Amino acid sequence: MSTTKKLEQWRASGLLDEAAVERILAWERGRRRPLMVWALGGLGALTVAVGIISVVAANWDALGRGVKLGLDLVLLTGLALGVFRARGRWAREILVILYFGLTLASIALVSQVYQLGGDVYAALVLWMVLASPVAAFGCSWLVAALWLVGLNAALGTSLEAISSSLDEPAMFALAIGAYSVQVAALLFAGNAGWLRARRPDFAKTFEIVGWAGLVLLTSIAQQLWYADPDGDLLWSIPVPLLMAGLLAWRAPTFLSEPTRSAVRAVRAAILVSIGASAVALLPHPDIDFLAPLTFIAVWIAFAAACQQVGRIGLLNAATAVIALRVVIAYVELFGSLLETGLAMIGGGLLTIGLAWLWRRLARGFKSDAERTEEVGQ
Amino acid sequence: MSAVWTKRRLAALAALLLPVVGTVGLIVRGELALRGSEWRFKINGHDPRDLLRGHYLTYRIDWAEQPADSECVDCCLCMNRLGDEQHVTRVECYAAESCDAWLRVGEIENLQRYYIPEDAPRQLEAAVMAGRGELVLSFSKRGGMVIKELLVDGRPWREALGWLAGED
Repeated sequence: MSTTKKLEQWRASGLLDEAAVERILAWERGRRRPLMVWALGGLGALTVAVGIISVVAANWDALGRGVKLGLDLVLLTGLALGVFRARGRWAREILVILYFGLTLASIALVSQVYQLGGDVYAALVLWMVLASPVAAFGCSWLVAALWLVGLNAALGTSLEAISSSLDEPAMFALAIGAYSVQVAALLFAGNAGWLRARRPDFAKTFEIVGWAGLVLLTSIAQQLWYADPDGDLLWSIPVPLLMAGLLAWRAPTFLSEPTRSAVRAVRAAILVSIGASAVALLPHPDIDFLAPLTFIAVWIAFAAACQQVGRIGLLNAATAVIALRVVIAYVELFGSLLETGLAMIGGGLLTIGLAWLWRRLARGFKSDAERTEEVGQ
Repeated sequence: MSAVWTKRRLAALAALLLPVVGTVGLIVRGELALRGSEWRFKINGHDPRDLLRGHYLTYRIDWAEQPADSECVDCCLCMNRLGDEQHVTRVECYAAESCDAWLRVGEIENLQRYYIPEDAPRQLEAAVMAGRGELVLSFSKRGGMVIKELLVDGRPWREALGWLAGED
């Protein structure tokens, strides 16, 4: 239901007076973001960038080296000045996206003109070095997301290029270390006061991607129980553990209301998820039944943190993931009659426990809401 | 206040011009490499089914390497001119700076494709397959290197298109 309809219902039932409804509507109008304009504008900007590249490619033979590079430099300089002088927010965002994309296209163009068949990672790293300051002139989540895509493309291709000259333990340590540091850096940046004040949408995007990265990477790590890693992953453990310590230490800064229980639950989620991942990285034989168990344990920690910070939607999502994993575990553990029976008893008890836990948490929410209502009166 | 504002504006403009400066730097590097010493090598198509991959002509360069005195670990191709002849041998990279031109062996792969227009005739591919192609590489003193030209029958490939079109 739309805000207007809700407000109309509340006004009709006497909860709000006319003046309050008007004030709320005026405030909502001020907060409204032109999402459609940004989405269409961003799409248009990307289409123009791709079109320019295609036109240049189609007329390759007709244009001389100097003309092609001259046009490119004029376009780059024009966009730089456009971003510098643009006053309207969405116009500036679109110019930033165009300039950001055209910088990569320029590197590719120079590479083609001089027949430099260099490595892809070198082009992407150079792109990020040259174009990151340009991205900093944007404000929207779209620019932040595009910058993160570029950063990860550069990081991924660089890791692949470097890994060819490393032995396996060093390669794993480098990759796991790099992604652990990235997740921690995104969470710290997303909660940094200076970024929240100057670029709130950047901060929000970094925070969301940071948490999503933590959840995704630690969930994947639990699948290692299906494998039997030898000492190859041992050197991959210190960096994630260091990041876990730093994140747990700074957990209060990640919360808008850092109550004692909320901080404790977020710290527990960080330490349990990364700690379980570190244990899975230790040398061990394949112990299949631990994969669903540690996965569920990690997700219970996430669910508890969501409940403590009052994110009911995320709590429901986490509960659904746990239930789904339990169902998958049933199928995985089907084997002999005895194994199937034990699996079903264990899985059934776990599901009942889950339902009981969810009901208890839901009651907690209800009583919290009632208390808040009483205080309000 | 005004001076601080001006400094900030200048810093912002400088940050925004970074891609322009970087692109100019890449162009200067390319131009310097084009003006370096020229070396010619024969090329051969190495995959008859897929010589033209996208818009790129792919091939192998025949370096006509002389046997090396010893095995190398961090290998470079060392190129020297002995009269009119090119002499190429494999050496350790730390010893390559005394060569007339040099190239890391790991970079060879990057030289084995050449951008050509979408509508280039298939006869160009056939000519390269028949061993009629040559590559002109240009090396700057500082180790920069570019592909300067693709030759067919000793002429730039664009000129060669005229007589290649009549071949079947």
